[in-house]
Formats: sequence, structure tokens, C-alpha cells
Amino acid sequence: MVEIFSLTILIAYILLMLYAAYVGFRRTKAGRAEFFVASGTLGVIASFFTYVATWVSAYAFIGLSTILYTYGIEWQLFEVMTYPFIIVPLTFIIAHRVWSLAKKYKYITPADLIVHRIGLNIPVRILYLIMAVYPFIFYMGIQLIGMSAIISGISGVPYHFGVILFTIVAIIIIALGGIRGVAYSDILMGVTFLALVVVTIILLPLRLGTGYIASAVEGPRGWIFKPSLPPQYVISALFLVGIPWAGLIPHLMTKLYAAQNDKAIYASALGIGVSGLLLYSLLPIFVGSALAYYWPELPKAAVTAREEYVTMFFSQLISPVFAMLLMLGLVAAAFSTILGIAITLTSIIHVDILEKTLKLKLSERTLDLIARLLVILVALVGAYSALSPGHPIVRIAITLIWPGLSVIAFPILIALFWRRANKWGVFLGHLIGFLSLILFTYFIWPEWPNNPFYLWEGTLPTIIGIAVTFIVSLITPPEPEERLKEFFP
Amino acid sequence: MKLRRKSLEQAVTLYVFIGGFFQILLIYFLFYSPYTFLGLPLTIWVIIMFGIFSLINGVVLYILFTHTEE
Repeated sequence: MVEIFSLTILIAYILLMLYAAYVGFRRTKAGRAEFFVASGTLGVIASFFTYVATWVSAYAFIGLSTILYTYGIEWQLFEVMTYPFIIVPLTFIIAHRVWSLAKKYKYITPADLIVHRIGLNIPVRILYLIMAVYPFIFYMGIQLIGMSAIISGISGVPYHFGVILFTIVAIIIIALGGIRGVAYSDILMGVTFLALVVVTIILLPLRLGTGYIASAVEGPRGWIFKPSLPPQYVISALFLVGIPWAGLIPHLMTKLYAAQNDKAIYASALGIGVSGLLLYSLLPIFVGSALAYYWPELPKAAVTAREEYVTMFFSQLISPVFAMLLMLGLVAAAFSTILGIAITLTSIIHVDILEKTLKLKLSERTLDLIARLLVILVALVGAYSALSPGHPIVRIAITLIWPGLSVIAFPILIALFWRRANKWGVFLGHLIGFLSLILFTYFIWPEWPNNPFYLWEGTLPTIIGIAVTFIVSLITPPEPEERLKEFFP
Repeated sequence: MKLRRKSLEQAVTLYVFIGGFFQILLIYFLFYSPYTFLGLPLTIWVIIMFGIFSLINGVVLYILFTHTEE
């Protein structure tokens, strides 16, 4: 039966979000720099919320609880371990370096930084687009899976209807939004989900009793609290997944470019620390354990996505209407991530490809229209991937998305901090890393974990990319001193 | 008094290396340890502690980095 009240709450929130995006759209001034990176004028508060809102997605809000309940605790363990000693401290260094270069040299797209550092204008921009589209398709897909699980688990509307509804809303917002619009709606979204996470963490012990986590540990589903993955998988993922998130993920780089000053960057890093505690540590432990306590055996109800267990649980625990109010946090988190990805992809297609590669002599408005249509196409492919998810969204992310992002990030990291890195090293590091990722994942070792050593799926391609960057840089001539002076004064 | 940004960055990098090394040891310990504390497996406590460290590190580093000069 369709729950009309809960559905009405959801629709009302979506309309509010669309309105916030529209206000931002009206306030966006003309020009590419304004449109894609808000001319580098976002202050401390806006940067904090837009960075956190883009960072946190359905992966954290519902995915980690689901993976704890269905697969076990180690998937959350390595995630939370990346925060205090890798991502948070390194963001103060790497993200600051990315921002300071962008501020000085007026970058708009992530590839602007690479081209400025190593040259090779057209090949770098084309390769970057291809490498970014691959993980972003799945990244958009998992957001749609998370949101569609709400509509089916709480409102009783079929899952696939949810995918279609949220895809349409995403398309409208992609069509409206420049980064200022995204930042405005991100403040609304960030406040929504941070508040709702706190409410959830307080609510569960009140409803289930303070000892429910201990009861879950001792219950029939206690096995989920004992790690069973090979330790080398967790260790390889810990470092190779974690480091890129300190400022080298494409849609987060655009947010860094938009920051006004270094305090805004530090506030973004602080925001990651806050998220680490609330969304990556406490929320999954509280919710995942609650599910194990409430349903020691998986529920009999047929689900399309395993994330529906979480939404069904809240619907039964606190009624569909209150469950929907809580899950608005998920809608907020998922949409802000989709928008962050969309604005970055639009900038890459518009600036890197249409303007700087194809050198099309069309009006800015026409170029933007073409770019948005192509991004909508990417979103549609993402929606297609969300129609029948074979795994929980955390597994999809760890297997398909994070490897793609790590292969992109490490050669850039080396170029940012090592003078000797040169154009052939970085370009071939990217190219060979990405090709080996595709080969290993789909052709050579298509079975999990896509290597014979039980390492994290992205380990071998990332290490190959790093090795090629170093070796090729050392055996080919260094970059000219004039170019290096701008990076290493 | 203001800190030099470069010195602070070097100190933080060292902190990341040392923290990383101890995390490797911690993972091996957790994966093969049956210990519990207050009725909960150590894995849960570690996840909660790392969440708290994440916030503390964010706050402390925010204060330190906003008091630096080039």
C-alpha cells in the first residue's frame, strides 16, 4: 500500500530543494568562472557546508549501515580508519596546495591544474574526461539506489519508480545549477543531514534500549562484528583509497577552487572531521547494530536493493511518516553529491573538451547547453546502472568507483609535490593505470577482488600508475625550470 | 605567536606516517583478537574512537593552521 503522507513529505522536500537551486541559479552572474567555481568567492560557512554536503553521500548515510548488517564490520572499519590519520590531516596540506594554485592561476577544471603543471593540453584533457566519467557513472548510480530505497522501503512505491523520479529531479537540477546554486542548496542539505544524523543516534537507544548493541553482538547475527576479510585487503584499501580524498577527487577539487581564502579550506577539512565522527563512525554502528538486533535473520520481504532493509526498519520502528523525515537527510546527502559531480562534469566537457580541445566557436550559452545535455546522458547511464543493483552500494563504490578515483589522484599528487615529475611520467601514469584498471576488472581477473593476492580491487592499477609516473619521469628529461618555478617557488 | 606553515606541514606529514604505521599493526591485532571491552568487541570501540579522533584532529589542526604564517 502506498503511504501518501510520507510520500507528500518527500515531494515537499524535493520542491524546497528545487527552489533553493532556482534561487542560486537566479543569483549566478554571467561567466564561466562564476558559473563553475563561483569566481573563488565562497566564504567559510558556505565552503564548510558545500564541501561536507558533497563529501557525504548515500554511501555514508545508508550504505555503511547496510554493509555492516549484510556483510560485516570490516567494511566500515577501514572506512572510518582513513579519517583521523590520513584524510583529515592531509586535507590541510594537499587541499590547501590545490586551492592556492587554483586561486593564483584561476583554474576552472581539475585538468587545468595538470595541464599547467605538465603541458600536453589536448591529450591530458581528453584522458581526464574519460577517466572521470567511468567512476562518476557508478557514483551517480549509487546515489539513485540509496534514494530509491527510501521510496520503496517507506512509501511502498516500487523501487524502479523511485529511480525514475529521482533521475528526473536530478536532470532538472543539473539543468538549473551553477556552483552558486549548488552551494545554496548544499547549506540546506548539510544542515538537514547533520541534524538528522544526531536525531537518529539519540533516537535508537531510546526506542530499542541502551543495551541493544551488546544484544546484537551476542545474538545470532553476532558474526557480522568479527572481521573475516584478509587483513591485506583492508590495509591496501586504507592507504590507497584514503589519500586521494585529501583534495584530489575531481568533484571536490571544484569545491576547493570555489573557496575564497585558506580559512575556507581549513573549514572544509574540519567538516570532514565532523563527518568522520557522525556519519562514518557513529551512524553506521548505531543503525547497522539496530538492524542486527531487530532482524537477526534477513527479512523475508523481497527487496531490489539491500539498502531497503534500513528504510523498512525505520518505517516499522517509528512509523513511515517519521522514517521519511529522518531519511530526508539521505535525500539531501545523495542529491548534493550528484550535483557536485554534475557541475564538475559539465565544466570538464564545456571548458576542457568543447572550448580547449575542439575549439568550437559557439556562444557560451550553446556550449553550456551541449555540456549539460552530455552530463544528463551520463546521469541516465548512472540511472540505468541503478535499476538492478547486484551488490550493496558500499561494495559497488569500493569495487568500481574508488579504484577509478585513486588511479586519477596519485599521479597528480606526485606532480604536486615532486619537482622531477614530468609530462610523460604523469600522462603515462594516468593512461597505463587506467588501462590496467579496466583490464584487471573486466578481462584478466573479473572475479572479486580482481587480483590473485586478496588486495583491494584498485591496488594493482594504482601501484602500476604510481610506478609508471616515477620511472618514466626519471628516464625522460625534466620539465623546464620556468614551468617548475610556478609550482615550486 | 604564529607557526610557520611549512614546519607545521612537515610535522603533520610525520604524524601521518607514524599514525599509518600504527594503523597497520592495529588492523592485524583487531582481525585476530577475540577481546571485548564492556561487552562489545574491540572493533566497535576502535570505530567509535577513530570517529572521535577524526573530530579532535579536525578541530586541533583547524586551530593550528589558522594560526600559521607563510
